[in-house]
Amino acid sequence: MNKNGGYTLIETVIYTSILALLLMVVANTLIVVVTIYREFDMRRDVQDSAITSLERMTKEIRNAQSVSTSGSAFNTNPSTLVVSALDGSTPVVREFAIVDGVLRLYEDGVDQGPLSSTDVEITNFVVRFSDTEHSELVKIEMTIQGSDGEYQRNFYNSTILRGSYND
Amino acid sequence: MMKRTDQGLSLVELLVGASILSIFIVSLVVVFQNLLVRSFNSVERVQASYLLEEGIEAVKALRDENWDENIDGLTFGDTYYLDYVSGLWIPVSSQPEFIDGVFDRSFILEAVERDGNDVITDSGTVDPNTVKVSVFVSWAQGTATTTRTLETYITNFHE
Repeated sequence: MNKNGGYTLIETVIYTSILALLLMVVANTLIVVVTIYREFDMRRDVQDSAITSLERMTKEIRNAQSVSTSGSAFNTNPSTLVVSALDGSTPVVREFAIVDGVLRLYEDGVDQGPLSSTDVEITNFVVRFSDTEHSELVKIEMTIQGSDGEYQRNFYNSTILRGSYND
Repeated sequence: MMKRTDQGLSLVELLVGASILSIFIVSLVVVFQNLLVRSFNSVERVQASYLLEEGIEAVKALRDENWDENIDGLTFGDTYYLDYVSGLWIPVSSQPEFIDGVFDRSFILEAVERDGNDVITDSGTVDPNTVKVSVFVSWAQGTATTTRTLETYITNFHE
């Protein structure tokens, strides 16, 4: 140990390298944390959009009396779904359509706003129509893409129109 | 303890300090990685829950199309799968490809028995117009397989 309490050259070199190493670890940690947060945020957007879109569509389809086969566009991407419902005794026509990658709901032609986040893009939206013996069923296939343009997940749901049970 | 006058930190002290800091940082990274893994699984659970919901709805559509063929015509207790062919859900007995290459969905029908008060029971008279439906969705999560189940009863109310 140096009697005057200073550092030797070798001590300084070792100290500097440890500090450098430590700084690198800290910087790397920060980068990892920020990257993970972004990933997390993007996945949450995809999940939230899927839940909001599917829950609303399921609710409105279930509530509907019939599907407008002339107003809807089935088996194509993007599809459009038009259903007729009764709110109490007032007839309402609800339309689900993709505009610029965002799912929107229209009631009697009036825009009710987006159901999916503008931070994600619905790259695939296919609606299929099933006319069974006693009911009508709507099948939805939806692909939601995250803001990084790579992460995407498919969501599916089928719903019977409860108002379509006539016999 | 080291006797100290005007000396700075020793190398050993520095190393101890650095290791404590490193442990702190590494644990932080591990926590964030776990969060990310949970986030992955969370999206899959949402996908799986909609597949389950769709499964129940599809079996109800099978009932709406033809009870005798699609429900009564199946073997109770056997595993069936759902396929969507030319605008209709149909039951198939051979396993189709996994949905999105990830999810395996199947369903089982079981006979329902009722007692003298028409209450569903384990031992009673078989009700030919009520069937218990169980839908299963499984997918690989890491090295394990996760299975979620949804059950309901359907009745032949169109008769």
